[in-house]
Amino acid sequence: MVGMLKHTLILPTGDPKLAARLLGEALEDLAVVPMLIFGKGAEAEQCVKWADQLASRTSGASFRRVIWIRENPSQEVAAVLGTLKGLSPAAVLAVVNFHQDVKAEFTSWAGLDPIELEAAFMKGDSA
Amino acid sequence: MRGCVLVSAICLSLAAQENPLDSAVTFNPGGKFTGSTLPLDRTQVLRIKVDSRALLAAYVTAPPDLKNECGRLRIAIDALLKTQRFALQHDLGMSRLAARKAAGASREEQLVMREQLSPIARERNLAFDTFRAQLKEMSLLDPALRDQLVARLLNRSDQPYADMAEVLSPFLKELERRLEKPVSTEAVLLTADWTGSDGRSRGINLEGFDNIPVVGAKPFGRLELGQDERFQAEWKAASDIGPWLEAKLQTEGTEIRKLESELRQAMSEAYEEVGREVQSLMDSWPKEPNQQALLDRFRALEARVEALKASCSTSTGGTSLGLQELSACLANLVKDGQALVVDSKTWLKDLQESISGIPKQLRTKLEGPLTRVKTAIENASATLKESYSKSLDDLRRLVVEADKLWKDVDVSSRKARRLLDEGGRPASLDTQLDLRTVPGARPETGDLVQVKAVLTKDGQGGRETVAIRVQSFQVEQFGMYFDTLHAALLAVRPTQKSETTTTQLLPGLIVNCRAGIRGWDWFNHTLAPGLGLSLSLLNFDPKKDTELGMAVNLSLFRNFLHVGYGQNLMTQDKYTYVGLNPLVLGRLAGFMR
Repeated sequence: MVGMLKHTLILPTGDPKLAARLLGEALEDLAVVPMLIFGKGAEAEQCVKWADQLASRTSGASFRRVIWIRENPSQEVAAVLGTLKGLSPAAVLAVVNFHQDVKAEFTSWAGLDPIELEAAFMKGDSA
Repeated sequence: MRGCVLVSAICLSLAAQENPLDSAVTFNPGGKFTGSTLPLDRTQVLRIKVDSRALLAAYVTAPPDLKNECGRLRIAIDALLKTQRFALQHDLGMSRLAARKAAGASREEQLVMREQLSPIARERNLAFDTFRAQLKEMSLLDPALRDQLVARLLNRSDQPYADMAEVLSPFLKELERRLEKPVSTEAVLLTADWTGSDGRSRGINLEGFDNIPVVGAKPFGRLELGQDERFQAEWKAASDIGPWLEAKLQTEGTEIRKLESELRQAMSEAYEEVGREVQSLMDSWPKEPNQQALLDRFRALEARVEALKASCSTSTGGTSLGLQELSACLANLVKDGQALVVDSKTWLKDLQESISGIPKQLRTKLEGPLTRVKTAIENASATLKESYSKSLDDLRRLVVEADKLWKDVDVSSRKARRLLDEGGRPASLDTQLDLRTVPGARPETGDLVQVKAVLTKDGQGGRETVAIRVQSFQVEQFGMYFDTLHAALLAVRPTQKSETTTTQLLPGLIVNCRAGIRGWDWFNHTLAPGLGLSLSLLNFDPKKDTELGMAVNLSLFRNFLHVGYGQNLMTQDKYTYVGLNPLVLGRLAGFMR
């Protein structure tokens, strides 16, 4: 259903250490704005699809990245997530800025649409 | 002196022409008409163009939700365009950061760059939040339009936010169009007043509008009806052309048929007359018996020759005639033969004369009928020429009139179509006032025309005046022009003569040459100088019945003061005069006011 994702990192579920490392590297990259999406339902998949589209640019490199955490975070992944400032445990979607501050967060899929996702991505650019 | 008379005659003929007005002004909601003077031109018509759309839009009462929706859409579109502008700046900064990172820039350096981009990001986010806020409030937004917005956003072109604004623009235009519709509840009234030289004002009819003193205010609905009436009148005039043309052609056709009949009759009569004359001529042709008698005589002579030949033959055989008898017989024969030749020649001569006289006789006989035919043809030709020349002129005029009429009809038709397309938008408020319709007065330069526009709308206590716009125009003529007037002149004779009077109050006819200069209002309307000639009926010498005086005249202050110096054309005496026109004071006072 999701199809080809060009700007999405789907964290591996079978290797917690690798997942934690990949997540850490993605969050450290100052050239992109990361959007974390948690869960694996239809809503999550739809959001991932929209977010991946919104991360695309017709020309030039993308400045956005989607990180899809489909399963409940392992201890290692949770440890990385713990470094983020202001992330709610109930969050289904969050955008982090270059200071690892959570700038946009949603705890429900309701009301999420591409316009809201775009606004969330934009917030990740500000200090 | 003849030269003076000629000049004055020319001046009079020029001055006798109308001083027409032609101008166009525009009334807009800004409160002022464009232009402030009515330059005299070809016609005495002031065209008033009313920017009804702008005028009414300024006072429109639209449903609040429609107004709000339009406002929200405008803000949303502006916000999207602003978002796009800051997004482009931010993306440029992010591209630089990526390049520095690839070049091995430290994390600290990258952080600094991100911090520097942060204000731009904030501006962009603020603009996008504005757009989102307006979008949430929009109650009239079509869900399909929202889907289009999302599609443009997900499409991720180089300018996604500008693309979204592009989606909203047509919707805004549609709402603005709906916003302008309720103007039919408005009412506008245009009036015009003309203030003459005596300072008194009176209303002037404005086409499509009615004056306040005549009837009450008319709403737009009436204007639309008025437009229809004009349209119908134009159509009626156009349809009237058909029968007129047909009648014209029928009249001409009857005339042609009549001429044709007359010509045919004249030719028929002439033909019959010619026939009769030819028959008469044939009757008088040299008769055949003359010819027959000659033939008989010839044959008798021939018989006698034959008999003589037979006698000779007998004599040769030794019988019959002697030589003397033969000689006598031959002599008779020759004599008869000669007589026959003479008679034949005479007959031939007569015949020749008869034949050569035929053309002359024919000409004489046919002269009458041919002349009548010629006259009939000439008459017909002249009548036809005159008739068709007139018809051609009529036709040319008709074509010009029809062309103008059809142009008007075409304009009206397009107006009607536009009205239909725009679904009840009020008809054009353009109008015109015709100074020629001012009763009992002829507008002159310096007169005032005041046009007033009153906008009203339905209020709680009935119709309320929303706005009043008034503007005065001064009738003006620029350039050189002639002015004729009558004046009472106090003439003075410088030379004292016991038997004549020295001062007299006389009526005078003055022809002045005047000039109007743009921007010189005091010169044009207060000083208003005029230089020309005057003609006066003098009565200085009681012995003379008629004394005509011609003088050079100078008028000042709008013909308030006249002074002149001239000559009595009968007695060659010189005289001067001065004239005052107190009525002009009213005009001057009116202008000052």
